[in-house]
Amino acid sequence: MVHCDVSLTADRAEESRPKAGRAMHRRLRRRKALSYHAMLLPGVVLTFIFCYIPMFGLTMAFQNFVPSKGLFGDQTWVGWQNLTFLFSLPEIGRIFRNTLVLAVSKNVIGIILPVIIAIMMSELRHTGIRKGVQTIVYLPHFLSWVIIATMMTDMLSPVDGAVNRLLGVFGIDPIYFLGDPDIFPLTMIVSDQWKEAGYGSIVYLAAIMGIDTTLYEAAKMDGANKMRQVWHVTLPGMRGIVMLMVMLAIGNVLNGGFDQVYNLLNNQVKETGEILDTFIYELAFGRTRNYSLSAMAGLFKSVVSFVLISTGYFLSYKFANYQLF
Amino acid sequence: MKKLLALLLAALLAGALVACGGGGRGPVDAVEGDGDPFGKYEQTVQLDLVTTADVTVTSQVLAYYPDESMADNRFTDLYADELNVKINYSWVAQSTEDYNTKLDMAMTIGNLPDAFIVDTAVLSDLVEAGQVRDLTEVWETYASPLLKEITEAEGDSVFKAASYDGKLYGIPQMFSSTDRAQLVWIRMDWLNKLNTLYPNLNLPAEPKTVDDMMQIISAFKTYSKDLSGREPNRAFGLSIQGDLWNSMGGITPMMNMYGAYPNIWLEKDGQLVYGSIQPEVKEPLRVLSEMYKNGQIAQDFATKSVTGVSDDMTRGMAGVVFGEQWLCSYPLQQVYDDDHAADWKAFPIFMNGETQNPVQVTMGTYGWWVVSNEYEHPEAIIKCMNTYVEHIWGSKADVEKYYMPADTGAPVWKLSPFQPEPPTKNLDCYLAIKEAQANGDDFASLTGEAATIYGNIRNFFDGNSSLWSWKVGYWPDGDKAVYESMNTYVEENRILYNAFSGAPTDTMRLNSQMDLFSAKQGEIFTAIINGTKDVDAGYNELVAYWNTMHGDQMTEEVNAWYIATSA
Repeated sequence: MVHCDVSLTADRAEESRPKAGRAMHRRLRRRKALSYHAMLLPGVVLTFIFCYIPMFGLTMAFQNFVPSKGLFGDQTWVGWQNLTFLFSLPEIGRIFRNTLVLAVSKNVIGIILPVIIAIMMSELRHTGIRKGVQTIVYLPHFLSWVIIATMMTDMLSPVDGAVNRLLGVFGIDPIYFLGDPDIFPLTMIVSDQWKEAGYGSIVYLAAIMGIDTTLYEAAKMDGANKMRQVWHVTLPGMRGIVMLMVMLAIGNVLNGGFDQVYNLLNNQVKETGEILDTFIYELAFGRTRNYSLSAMAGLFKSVVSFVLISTGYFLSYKFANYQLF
Repeated sequence: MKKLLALLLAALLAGALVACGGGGRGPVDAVEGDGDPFGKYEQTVQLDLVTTADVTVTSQVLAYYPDESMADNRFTDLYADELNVKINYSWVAQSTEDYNTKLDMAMTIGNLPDAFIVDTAVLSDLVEAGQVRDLTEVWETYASPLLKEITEAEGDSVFKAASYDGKLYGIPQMFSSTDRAQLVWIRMDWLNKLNTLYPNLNLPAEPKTVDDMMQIISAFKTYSKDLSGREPNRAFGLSIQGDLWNSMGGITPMMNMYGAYPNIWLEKDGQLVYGSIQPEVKEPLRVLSEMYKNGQIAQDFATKSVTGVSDDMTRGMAGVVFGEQWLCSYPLQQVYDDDHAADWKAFPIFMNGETQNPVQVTMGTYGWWVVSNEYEHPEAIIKCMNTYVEHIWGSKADVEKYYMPADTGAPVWKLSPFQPEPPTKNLDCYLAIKEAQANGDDFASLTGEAATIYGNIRNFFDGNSSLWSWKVGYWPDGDKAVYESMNTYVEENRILYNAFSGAPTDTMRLNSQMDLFSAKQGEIFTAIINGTKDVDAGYNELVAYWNTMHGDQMTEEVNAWYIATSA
């Protein structure tokens, strides 16, 4: 997009130029475009190497893949058998249910909460406080889930954990946040928001900063209070970016958050906590390292995401007239 | 292309060899070279390997010897000087999982190292694909008597597992499987204290039966205020963790005491059956769920890992834990560091009433060395192994240099790619120390590793409290040593091995059905212990899942293997 804009301005500039300078200018422009293309090249090459070439590995999903036979070796082809087996597993129902519950709630709340945080932060007038709050809410994003999981296991322990001791002061019985199947998904959703909501608010904050301040002045003239200004100026101003984020989120509908769940999952909460990604991981890197089954599960997940994201894009174009590309 | 080049090179080399030797034999499947187990090559032989070096190699070894590295150390020098074998590493993995994934990758793209360690599943794939060499003759010709003695010490099942059609394709890398037998660790100073404070509790001075153990666990919780100063509701007796089969804080010994043997195959009426689905598992699970209800097991055991169990010990929340012999160095050494009164003793699993059940050992930790078909000197790895054992346990033994230097205590043997060790070496050291003590404290007669261990114990008595674990492990103070209990297991023949040691059968590997079953088993057993599932209902569900995963077919295949190998 940036590239297009630049050449457009260049075109316009060209029209007002005398003929003699044109040839030279065209060469110059081509050279300029060339440098942009050159800058694009590493990205394209890397995408090709790391995203397109590995797609040939998807053949594994239709084989009974044995590494020692080699990638192009004499592997046994089994057709759709891996998929049939996955769907014949007694656990597959709960795995999909858990994945959907976690992914949908995380993504929905993961848009609403950051928007609220962004609006509240933009209304903070004291820069010192705002910067302080920003740092505090961004910080958890930079911690890895391995570290947070260890902290959580310790803090949320029903026997000796800090959180339950605090609850005990108010006479509340210990809650087993990470071991109670009914509470585990909630723990996942809340801790995920704690970690990511602050960081997620950055894009919305940027969008708010881009809103023309004269609009607020006009609203004020018309007698709008703070709430009204937020409703009629800030939110409409963020519409584009929110739409974009929603669309990107649709593709995540089968992403339950591997890093988080894998580090906190235990035998007691598998009923409500085991998701597609942790299941795939166990199949691929567990004791028997079944690459074929996990490749099939991964392929299935990609196809679902692809269909959903295309539909989402089509719908937003049709009904909201929003175009990403 | 690469393969073609390698093949061409191999052909050229083969030609050269034939020309040199003047004989008419090709190198494939025939014994080449001088036939001398310790013979030095005239021309440097390159040996490309892959290996695993976990964090302990850096923290326990390389930290003390900054001049050495995995690529260049006392062992690479040893093999170069003694044999003229130059070892290169294509890659060094960080953990076993990492190693397996990297090796799968290497196999997939056909970039095999000259020699590498595999498990039985990969071994059978490689043999089927014809990618590894038949090592039968090479092993016969080149393995030194000491290496043979070490490798064959635990019977021929390790060789059977690597043999196809009577040909040996993998050299077993021996680890001690007796050392994998689990023990019951009890905090004796607590028990003594309770016996002094409350003599009318009638606690046993030394537990002998499961009932004794239960009584102690219960007392440890009830009187925790006297022991660790904790309120009883913040303490429990027994520490177990989420991974029920872990070698620290698992429940395997509990199962064994009740005659249940999960995760291994055992013989029942001449047939092999899978232990996990036998009705014997019900009783120990019922007892555990009872203990959970009474708060003798942590409410949050399911979210605990090894660190959690370690915390239970160091914070004084539990005084009984199941685990292997090494628990004295971690985490119990830490408990001792905090509180010098802490006195842990490891008991062999207890009698259940009048019945003494054996303890189970899964032979899951074995690896086999295989040699790529394209490598010219299969005997080189055996020569290296000969050299390794000779310099640690043989005539050229230099424990100071090649095993564990006394001043740093660093396990320098981890720097060698080949690490065969006598399966009973730790026990042998203990027995040597015990004998020396019996012979009027004749400790000067100790040699090799036993001398090093005795040195550590001596230093502990001279005031170095960080060496406490050596005393607990090897000092025959009455019968308090850990290895005294291990000795009991061995002497009284109380170890039950997995009866199935073959490669995973087709049905086990198909769709990872065995793994899926194990996952389900962990889930159901956890639910039974924490009371969400009734024992019988849970057990029936597990058996049903076993059938869904074609368990009867697996049993059939395992029995076919059993008949074929015992014939």
